[in-house]
Amino acid sequence: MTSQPGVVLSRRFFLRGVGGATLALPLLPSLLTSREAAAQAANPNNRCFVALLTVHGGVWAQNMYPADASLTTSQLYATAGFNVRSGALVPTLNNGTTSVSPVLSAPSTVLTPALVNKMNVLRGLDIPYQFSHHDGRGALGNIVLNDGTTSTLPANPQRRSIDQVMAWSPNFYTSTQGIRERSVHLHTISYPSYGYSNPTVGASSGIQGIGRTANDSMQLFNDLFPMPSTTPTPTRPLLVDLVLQDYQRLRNGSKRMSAADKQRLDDYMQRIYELQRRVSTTTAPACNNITQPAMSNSSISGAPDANGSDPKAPYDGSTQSPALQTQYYQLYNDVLAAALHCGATRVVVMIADSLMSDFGTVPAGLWHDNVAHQCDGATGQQNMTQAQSAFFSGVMVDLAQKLDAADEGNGSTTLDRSLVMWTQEYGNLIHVPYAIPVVTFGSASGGLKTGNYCDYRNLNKLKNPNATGESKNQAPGLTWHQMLGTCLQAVGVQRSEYQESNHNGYGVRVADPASDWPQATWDAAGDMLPFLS
Amino acid sequence: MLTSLSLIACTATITDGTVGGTGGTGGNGGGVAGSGGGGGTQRMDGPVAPRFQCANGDSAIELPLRRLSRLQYQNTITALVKQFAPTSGSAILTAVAPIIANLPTDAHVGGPTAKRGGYTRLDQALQQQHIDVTYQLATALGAQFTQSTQRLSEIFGACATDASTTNDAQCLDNFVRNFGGRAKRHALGADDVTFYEQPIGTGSKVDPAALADVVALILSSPGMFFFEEHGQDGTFTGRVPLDAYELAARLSYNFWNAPPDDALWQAATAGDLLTPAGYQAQVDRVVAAPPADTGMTEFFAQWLRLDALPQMNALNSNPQYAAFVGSTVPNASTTGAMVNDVLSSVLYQAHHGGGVSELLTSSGSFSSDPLLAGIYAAPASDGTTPSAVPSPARAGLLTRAAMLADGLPVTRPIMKGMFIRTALMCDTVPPPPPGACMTPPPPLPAVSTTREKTEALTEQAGTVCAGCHKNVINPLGYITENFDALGRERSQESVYDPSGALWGAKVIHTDSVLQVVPGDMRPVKDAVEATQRIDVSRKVHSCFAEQYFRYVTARLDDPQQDGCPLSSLESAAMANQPLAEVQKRAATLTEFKTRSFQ
Repeated sequence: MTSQPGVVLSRRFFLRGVGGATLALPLLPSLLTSREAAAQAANPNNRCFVALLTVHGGVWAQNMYPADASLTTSQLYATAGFNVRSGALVPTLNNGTTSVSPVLSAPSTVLTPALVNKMNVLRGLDIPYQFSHHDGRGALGNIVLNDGTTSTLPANPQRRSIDQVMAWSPNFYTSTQGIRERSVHLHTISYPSYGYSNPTVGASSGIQGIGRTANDSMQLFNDLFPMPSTTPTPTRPLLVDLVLQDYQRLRNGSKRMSAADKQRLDDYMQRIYELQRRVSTTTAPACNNITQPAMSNSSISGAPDANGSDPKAPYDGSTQSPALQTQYYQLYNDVLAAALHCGATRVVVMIADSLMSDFGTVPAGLWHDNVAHQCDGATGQQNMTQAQSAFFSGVMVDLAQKLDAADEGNGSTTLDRSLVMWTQEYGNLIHVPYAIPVVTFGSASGGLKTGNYCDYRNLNKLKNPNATGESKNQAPGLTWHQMLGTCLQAVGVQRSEYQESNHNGYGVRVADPASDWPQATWDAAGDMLPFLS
Repeated sequence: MLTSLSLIACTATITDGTVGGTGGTGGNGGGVAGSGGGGGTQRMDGPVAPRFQCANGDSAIELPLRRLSRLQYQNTITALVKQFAPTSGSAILTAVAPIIANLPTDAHVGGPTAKRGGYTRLDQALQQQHIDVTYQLATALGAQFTQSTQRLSEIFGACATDASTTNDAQCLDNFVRNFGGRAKRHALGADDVTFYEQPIGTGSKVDPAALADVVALILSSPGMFFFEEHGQDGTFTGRVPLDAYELAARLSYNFWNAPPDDALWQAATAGDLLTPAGYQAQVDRVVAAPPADTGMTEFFAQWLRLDALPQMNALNSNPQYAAFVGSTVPNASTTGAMVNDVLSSVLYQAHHGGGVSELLTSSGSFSSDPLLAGIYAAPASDGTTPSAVPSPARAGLLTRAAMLADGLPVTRPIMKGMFIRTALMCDTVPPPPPGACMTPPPPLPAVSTTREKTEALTEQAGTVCAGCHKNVINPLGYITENFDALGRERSQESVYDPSGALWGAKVIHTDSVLQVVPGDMRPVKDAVEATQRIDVSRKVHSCFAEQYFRYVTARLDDPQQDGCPLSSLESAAMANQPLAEVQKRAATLTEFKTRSFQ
């Protein structure tokens, strides 16, 4: 055995971004020798994917998106059969704040024009049926797992989330050398990620939720940056090998077991193989000299109790604290930026699920009733806008700028080989699945064009054209399936790895009402989204 | 897998004392088919028809290779360490506590009636962190066990540290058989002993590093993490009877969330568990033993969603909340006191022959917490004996503080109603329809009750919300509106602005048409009448049976294939048999004592 997970020995430095500070990664480039940097630059197969999710939503279009006037290009998307629009993202700078829209605003020291140029804002992408709440479960591909209902669900409708497609794709991970975690999952209650119970077996093993990788940022750090072992390899057999043998002798022995029992053993052994892979692999050199961070976000959130309760909201016990909430995620960002840069992982999913309200000042218990379900009122909309903007500024932009500060040694940054996306649970009205906002940073090594605001709504199908409120903007557009497929293709996953028998996008085909998403939109579902390729 | 749906039609019609189970409409709120009972004509002034029928014999469903829950795994580690290291066990457990804390949390898994609830036992997903953390814990415990000569002697025996080498092999064998047997909850065969001694190789039988690997290997074995069950030797048709050790583990983990104690282990070793009398004696002992309280309270805490109760003091410095609580300022203990009040009530009924009816209707306080006792206006209780609550408005379970308090300055009738409808009565309500945010409520006076605001927001005629909210959700929340959001009794609702200034107060109303049984339009005036109506219907009793079946089997039920065991539990519960008797009945089900290997 060459290393023991979770043990810290010697790590030379760790970047600091604690408390929303804007420090970059000043030492990371020095971690790489020129040969390592050159090798990394020459490697086309090191793209990263980060999904950031927030629940609820219902941010009005005027608060979420750039002005309609910025959509300077309109063109027929022939496959889908309607016109789509785009324009360049043009930030405004005012009083030290860079704004693309009211939600998409951040301090100019962080959200620079150059960073805006690595950003996309996408509108008009629909989960094509009424899903009530998915709480993040449906955002990344398992779109049928929610509280809603539809009469058109096919048999076996569950699918892996796209992060798990990537994590087990031979085209995404052409090598797992040095990879500590194929994917990192940070959530409290909601499970946004789903994978095969046994990824080496596939769909027949069933779909299950993927648990969180760590309960706090320190545990995450220790998992991703284990202490290099200083003890000599024992002459005895590696323990993990014997553990595997123990399972194999039960699996292949003569004791009475059902086929399903053996499948469960196979599923578990696959995880032992993954452990075996890690303990026998050499951690990437750049990951060996990183210093443990000074504090864990458990110190501001409360760690799980002895019974394993979920991590608690970062909450000071007396007043709402958006600053603490932001810091909680920034401490995760510090670890994630280093891990993505040095190659300890390349896939991250992080959701602010039950904690969304803490980005605002309305107490959590009142959030659902007084904000989320008052979204058609000015006060509720203002609170929702403020909270979602705090997430964008404090979490998404924070991570993007940290990744952008990580020099790859070849003139590009870690952000340049990454696709960082953020989406919410709903479109511009709560419980409405039309036009769920998507914001991205990074081009995934050229997999995506950036700097665009795109509107994929079919304006010929406005649902309430005579309305005066936000509902006047509602119109079906392109499918969530096409967005998910675009993410997959952008990071190098081949369409043949995921396409369905009845469309070429990602995920089970569901459309209710079918007239909103006719055959033409499904014909387009396998394409990269217009303007981005 | 199918589950026992009791889908509620969100519109209903009066049918002169009965309601046909003919299904709802697809109108407002998206009503769907079903009735509150088992179909057919339903009585409104008596028990609903049983939901489950025994038609297909023994269930063919078996959860494959079930794993221990986080709590069960943790308890197993604790028990093993304390048993084999009685002196240094506490220090060892302290040393590995940070690793134990990293064990993956089990998710609450429920069926369609429990989208926000469910039982952690039902989370049978295998996470990468399970092997990562248990492996790390196993190696750490191996190191702890062999850390010093004193620990070697204590845990492995004096033979591990004495000068003699002639007894080393036997020393090792004994440890592996004893420790391995208890860790894997089964007597080890010779092949197992040989396997687990592999780390020793050709070296010293008592080399500390090698012994550490032996410990770690045993603790990483399949029988430690999973319930490894193979059934009795022999040829059987259909379900296979479990062997004595497997029965012992089922009993202890189901009722105690812990491994078999010495008495169960001895009963398994001696074969007593394979005789009807011996098994029944152990069932009676296990259900009555103090550790059974942990299983009982875990089940009820998760069924009643007590683990989701917010901290009552979280908003103490919020001006509106501070004005609302007044001099009854919650503290860090308040939420726990509210939870304990309910769970103590459960245990009291379990220990004193009470059934679901007594649990529903008993209002005595079990709180020693001064603040909660003050809310009840009752003397402090010692936690095991109820103190009389003077107010006749306290109707029982539904008016216990934990069922009313929400940590906010206002009550949440919708949430209260949904809880009673879906969690307690196992009805299913359709999801929110499209456009739930499309119709702003009409303006109301600033001084309006929460009920009035809720009615305006969700019960407007012609809206998509009204069907469900007006008929099946909100009324069940209105009946306890004579209690505020801290569980205090009130006759009027005080309304505060965000700064804490009192805007005014308004008289509350609790009268409602509950439709406990869909179509029953008889009004009730308050929670006392509502509790009686609910109790008489036996819907909570039936729901308890189904929920407890899920808890025992760690899976969702299939009303057809599981009809027999469900019917057995339901008949006991609807007859209001004592909670302990329902527990015992679960342990005597064929499905509990046997296993399918199909």
